[in-house]
Amino acid sequence: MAPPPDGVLDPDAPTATVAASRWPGVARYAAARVGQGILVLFGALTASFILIHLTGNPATVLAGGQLPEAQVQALSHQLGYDRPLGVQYVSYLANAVHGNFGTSFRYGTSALSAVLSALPNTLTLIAVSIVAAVVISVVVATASVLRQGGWSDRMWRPLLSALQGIPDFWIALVLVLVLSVKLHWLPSLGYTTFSSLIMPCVALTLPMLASFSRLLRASMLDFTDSDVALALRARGLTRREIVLHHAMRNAMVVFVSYVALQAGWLVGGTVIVETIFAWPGIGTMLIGAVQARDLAIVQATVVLVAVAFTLLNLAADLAVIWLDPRIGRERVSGR
Amino acid sequence: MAEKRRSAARRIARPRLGSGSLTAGLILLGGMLVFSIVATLASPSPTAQDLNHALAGPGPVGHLLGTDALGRDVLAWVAGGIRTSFEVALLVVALSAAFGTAVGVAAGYLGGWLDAVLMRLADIQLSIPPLPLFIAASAILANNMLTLVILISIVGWVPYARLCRAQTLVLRERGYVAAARLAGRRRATIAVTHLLPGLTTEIAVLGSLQAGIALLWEAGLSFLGLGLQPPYISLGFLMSQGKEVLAQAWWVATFPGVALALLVVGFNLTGDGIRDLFATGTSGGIR
Amino acid sequence: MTAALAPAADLSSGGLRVSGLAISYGGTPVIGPLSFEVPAGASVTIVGETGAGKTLLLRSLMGLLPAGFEMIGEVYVSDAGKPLRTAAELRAQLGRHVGVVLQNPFQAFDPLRPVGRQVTEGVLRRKLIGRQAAQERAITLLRQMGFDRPEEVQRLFPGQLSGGMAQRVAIATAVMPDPGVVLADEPTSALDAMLRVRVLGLLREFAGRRGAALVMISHDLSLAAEFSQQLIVLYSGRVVETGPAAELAAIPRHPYTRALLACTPQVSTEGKRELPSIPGSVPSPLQPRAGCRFAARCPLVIERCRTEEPRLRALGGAQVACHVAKEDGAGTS
Repeated sequence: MAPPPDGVLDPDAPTATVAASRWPGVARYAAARVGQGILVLFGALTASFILIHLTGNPATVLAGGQLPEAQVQALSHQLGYDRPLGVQYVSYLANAVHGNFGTSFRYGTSALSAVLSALPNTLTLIAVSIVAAVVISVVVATASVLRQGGWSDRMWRPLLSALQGIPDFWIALVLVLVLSVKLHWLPSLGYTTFSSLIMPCVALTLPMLASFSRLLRASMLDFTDSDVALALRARGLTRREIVLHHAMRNAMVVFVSYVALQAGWLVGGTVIVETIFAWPGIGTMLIGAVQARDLAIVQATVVLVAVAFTLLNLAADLAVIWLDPRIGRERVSGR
Repeated sequence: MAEKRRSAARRIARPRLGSGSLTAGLILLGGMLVFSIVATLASPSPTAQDLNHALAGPGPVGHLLGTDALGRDVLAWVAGGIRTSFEVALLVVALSAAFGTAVGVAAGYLGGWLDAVLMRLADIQLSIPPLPLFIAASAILANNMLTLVILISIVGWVPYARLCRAQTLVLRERGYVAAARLAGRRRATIAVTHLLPGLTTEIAVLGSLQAGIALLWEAGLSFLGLGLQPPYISLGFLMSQGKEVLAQAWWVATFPGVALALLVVGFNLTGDGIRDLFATGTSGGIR
Repeated sequence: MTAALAPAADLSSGGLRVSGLAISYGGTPVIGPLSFEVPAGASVTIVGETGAGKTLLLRSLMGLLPAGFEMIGEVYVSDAGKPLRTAAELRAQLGRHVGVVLQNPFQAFDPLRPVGRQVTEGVLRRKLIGRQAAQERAITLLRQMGFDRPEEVQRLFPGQLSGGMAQRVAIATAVMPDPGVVLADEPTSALDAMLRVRVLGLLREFAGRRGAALVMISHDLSLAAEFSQQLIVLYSGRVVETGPAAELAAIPRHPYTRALLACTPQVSTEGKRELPSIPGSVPSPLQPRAGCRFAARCPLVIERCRTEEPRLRALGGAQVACHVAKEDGAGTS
C-alpha cells in the first residue's frame, strides 16, 4: 500500500490537525463485531431448528418408535409440530428470544433453567483449564524465544506436535487409570472437592498447551525476524528487551483472539471429558438428553453454547481493542 | 537483491528442521499402515467374540494386546481401526478440500456480493461450536461412514475456503492470469489451470493438519456411542469399551489411544514438513 | 587491495575509521576488503546496485550480520576509544556511539506504541540520561527535524505517520544518544524527491553541528556525489573505485562508475534521450569468479580482465580497481 504523500512543504501552510479521537473508529469496529455475533446466534438457532426437523416430524423422534401412531399424532399436535414449517420457525425464534425452549420431560422444569443450572460447572472447568494453559504456554514460549537456537529450542516443535495429536479423552482415561484406579490419589467421578478438578483440567489443558505455545512462539518469532526488530536493535535495545517489551505485546493480539476461540469451542467441547468424569456440566446433560431424546434440552444446550461462544468472542474483541492501538486510528498527514 | 541472497544464505545456514518433520511424519504414517495390514492378516477377525477369553491381558499367546469384555482381540481391532481411520481421514479431507477450495476460489476470483455472502456464511458457521450439533445430529441420523464424513466435512471446509480465497486474491493479480483472460479463456478454465496449481502446496499442508483433526472428531463421536459403531471398526469405540473396564483391563482403552495419537501426530508432522519445505526465508530481524 | 590510508584526521570528536573490513560466508570471501576513514562532520557514501552487498556491509558495521557470515577487520569508532573487532563489540555501540537510520520508515517502529515513547526508549533503557532530560531532548530534536508541534507528534502511533514524517522521527531517534557515527541505509529510497533533499539535509546538518561521521548507503551516484565528500563504489562486493566525491563525479575512471553516472534519470532540455542501462545483472558476491567481476558487462573488457582481478591503484585523486582505466578517464564511454 503506497503511503500518502507528505503535506506540501510550504513553511507558511497551516498545519493539519493531529490525531482525531479513536473512539468513532472503535465504535464502528465494535458494532461490526456485535452484528456478527447476532448473525452467529441466528445461525445457531436456525441450525438447531433444522436439526430437529431433519428426519421429518420431531414427534416421531421423540416417540422413538415406541408409541402407536395415534399417540404420536396427538403428541405432535400438542407440541405444535403439525403446523407449517414456516410458522413453526417463526414461533421457535420468538420463543428462543424469550428463552423458552420448552419443558424437559425428564427434569420437569423449563429446558433453559435445567441447562443453566449445569452451566457453571462446565464454566469452572473451562476457566481453570484456559488459565492454566495460557500461563504455562506464555512461560514456555517466552523461554523458547529467549533461548533461541539451543537444544531445548529444537526439541520443542516435535514435542509440541506430539502433544497436540493426543486426544483429550485419552489423556483423561490414562489419568483416571493411573491416578485414580492404581494410585487412589484422586477421585475419579463427579465434582465433589477441589481436587476433582485436577484430572479433567489436565486432560483439557495439555492439548491446548501445545497449540497455544506454538502459536505464541511463532508470532513472537515473526516479530523478531522482522525489520521492526532490526530497527529496535539498532537503537541499542537488547534482544531480551525486544522480546519481553515488544515481541510479546505484538504477539498478544493474535494470541488473545485464538485463546478466545478455543475457550468458545471448549464450551461445547468438554462433552467427552465430562462423560468420563461424570462431571455435572452441560456436556453430560447433553448426552443424557440425546440418549433420552429430550429435544428441548438438546435445543437449549446448542443455543446456549452458541451464546456463550459469542459472548466470549466479544470479550476477546474488547481485549483486542485495548491491546491494539491501531484500531480506529487513521493515518495523519501534514507537519 | 541483497534481501533474497541473504535469506537464501540463511536458509542454508539454518539446520534443516523441515525435512526432518516430513520424513518422520511419512515414516510414521507408512509404518502404521503397514503394521495394520500385517496385524490384520495375522490376527482373528476383530468382531469375533470369544467369551472364554474375555478380558485376557496382553501376552504372546494368541492375543498380543489382550482382549476386551466380549473376548474381541484388541490387536485385530486396533489394526482394523487404523484402516478405518485412514479411510475417514481420506474421505473427509477429499470432501472438505474439494468443497472448500471451490468456494474459496470462487469467492476470491469472482469477488463482489458472492464473496461477501460466502465468507459471511463461513464465518458464521465457524462460530458455531460444532460438538453439540454433531452430537445431536449423530443421534438423529444414521450411524454410518457417509453421514459421519459429511458431518465432519461440514465443519472442516471453512479453513480451505479461507485459505484458497486469500491465495486467490494474491494470485489473480499475477500477470499470467491477466494474460489468460486477455486471450479469451473462460474464467472457470483459468481458475482450474492457472490458480489451482498455485494452491496445491497450501492445500496439502492444510489437508494433513485437518486429517488429524478429523480423526479426533471421529474418535470422539464414536467414543460417545454416536459415530461409528460395530460393525464399523473404530478406535474410538474400543476406547469406550475400555472405559467401562478400566479398573480390570487397562489395555483395552490404552492401545487404541496410542494408535490414534500416533496417527494424528504422523499427520501433523507431515503437514509441518510440507510447510517447511516450501517456506520462504525472511530478510530482516535479529535472529 | 587495501587502499593506502591517508594521514589520520583528528578523531577526538566523532569520527570513524575502518581498516581491512571483509565479510565472508562459509569461508568464501564475499565483500571487501575495504578501508576508509570519515572525519567528524564529514560523510562517505557507499554506492552500488541492489545486490552488491551494501546492506550487508552496513549490518557488519552494526555487528548484526545474519547467521553464517563472518567479518574480519577493525573498526575504530572514536568515541568508543578502542578498536572494535568482534560483532559483539560493535553491537555494544548501537544506541550509544553509533546511530542507525534504516531504509523503510514504516518498519522503524513498534506499531503498538506511540512514537514518543520509542524515541526516548533507547537512551532510557541504556540509562544514558534521565527521563526528564530525555523528554526535553526528544522535543528539541523533533523540532530540529521540522515538526512544529512535537508534543502532538509524540502521541501519534507509527501507523498514523506518513513516510516522510516517520523517517524524520526515525532520524531523531537515531541521533538521540548523540552518537559520533551515524549509519544510514538508503534513508530516502522510500520518499519522494522533495522529501529526499530535505531529509538528507537534516542528516548533514546534524553531522556538521555535532561533528559526527556519516556513512550512507545509496544506489544513486549523482545524489551521493552532491551529498558526501567521499564515495566508495561497490560492485558485487568489491570496491571498484573510491575517492573524493567531486573527483569521481567529474572524472569517473572505472567503467562501472561511468555507467552508473550515466544511468541517472535527468531532466533534459535536449529532447528525448533513451535512459541508458547496463546490460546484464550483478553477479552474486557468493559466486566465486576469476578475474574482474565486472568483466561480463564491461564495454572495455580485455583478456586480462577475465583472468586477473584488478587491484586498487591510485589514478589522479582517486583509487581505481581496473586494468584499463586511465588517469584522465578517457576511453570509458
